[in-house]
Amino acid sequence: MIEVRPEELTLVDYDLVELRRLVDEAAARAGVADVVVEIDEGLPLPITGFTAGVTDGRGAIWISGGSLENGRYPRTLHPDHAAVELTAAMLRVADRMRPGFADAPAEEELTDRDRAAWETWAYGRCARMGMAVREQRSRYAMRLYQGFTDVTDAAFERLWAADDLTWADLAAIGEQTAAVDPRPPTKAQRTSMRTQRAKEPAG
Amino acid sequence: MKKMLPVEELARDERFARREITESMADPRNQGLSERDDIGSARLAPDRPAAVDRSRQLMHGIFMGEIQALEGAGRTCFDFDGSDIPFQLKLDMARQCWDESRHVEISVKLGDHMGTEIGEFAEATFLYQAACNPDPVLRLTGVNRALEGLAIDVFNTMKEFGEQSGDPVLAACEDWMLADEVTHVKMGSDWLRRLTADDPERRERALEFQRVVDKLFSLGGFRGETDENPIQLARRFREMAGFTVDEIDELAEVSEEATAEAKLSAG
Repeated sequence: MIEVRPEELTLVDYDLVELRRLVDEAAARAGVADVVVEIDEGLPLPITGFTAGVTDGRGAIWISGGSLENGRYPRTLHPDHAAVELTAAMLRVADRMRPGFADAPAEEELTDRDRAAWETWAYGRCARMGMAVREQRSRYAMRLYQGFTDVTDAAFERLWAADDLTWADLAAIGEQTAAVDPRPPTKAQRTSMRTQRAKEPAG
Repeated sequence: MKKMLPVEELARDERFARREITESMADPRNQGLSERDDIGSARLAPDRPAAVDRSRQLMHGIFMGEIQALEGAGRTCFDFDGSDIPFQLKLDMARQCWDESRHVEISVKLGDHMGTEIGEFAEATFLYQAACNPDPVLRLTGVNRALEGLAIDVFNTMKEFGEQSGDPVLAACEDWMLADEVTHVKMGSDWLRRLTADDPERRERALEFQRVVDKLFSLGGFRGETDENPIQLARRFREMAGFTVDEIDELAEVSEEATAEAKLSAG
């Protein structure tokens, strides 16, 4: 069952029928049949982001309202951006349901570096589906979290074009970029929002 | 050509959409944001959640600000004749137009670098509105002291973000533009002193106008010296631009007031 929460949005003017259609289409693209999508309408652009977990076999997506928003006309839906963000989130849910991601850390344990690689791969797949993906934005995100280096740029190209990866592949890319990242080493950053939500069972 | 061009008549093509500051302030989502404990501080830094889009939106805002600064300085060249302002001041404004034009081009390239399209975010026009005062001295304080002063704070914040994130392109470009902005503020400070040397009342009016504009630019806690402020007050560069320590302290107080008012209105 595909469920969207909340049933009513009061802070933004998103068309709920259109939003529901976008969620259904995203789920179909990723092959996800059982998922709850929670839209956090209180977060405007530029506070974007999503988490994509699986609890007891059911997908659980939390997504910032800003990820779906039209920056030109605040509080309104951007159908193209929303379609991409929802599909990328659904693809990550689908990944988690595959054996190759059985050992992937839970959402709240993912570092920014890991998340950037995984999202790059998801956006790349969206692009190959013919969706209006903002490739340079993804490249910038990858550089921001994995380092402004040639190794990161090469990793981006590999992720963008990849068809089938496992968690071990993504983790290996993170290790390669970390090895040449000139920035001072810091503790692994986990700055994604609402990561606690990933721990909570839907409902 | 028309003098004293109102903000509604600024030339923009279909790529751009405007949003009034009152609309931004009335956004019902503002209220809940200050209560959230999951979105990190407002200060721009790579280790804050959503750093990618926060920095992209700010860069787009800088781009729009550069266009309006170009328009403001250009209008000052054109709106006043020789009996209003010295020719040398017009030359300074013309030089500033050239600088701002380069900044617009650099900002477009930085937008490309960060994956942002021109017009992706709504344009706020309050910068230009501060540049519409019919008194050239007040105009000068509005543009060259308040607006360009804000530019110093914004560029320094963005430069630090580029340094922290290891982005050599962003850091170098912001540093370069920051140097120009310091010069623009210095021109404003120097001309304000010269034009009001024999008219302390007019100087006080101009400084009062600057305080009003500075408060506008600090609305919602946008600028300040704590982690609650996305844009940090750049004390060192402001001193280089001719602001006294007292003036910077006063601006910090205005910013604190604006932050407190924003919290109060958020409940």
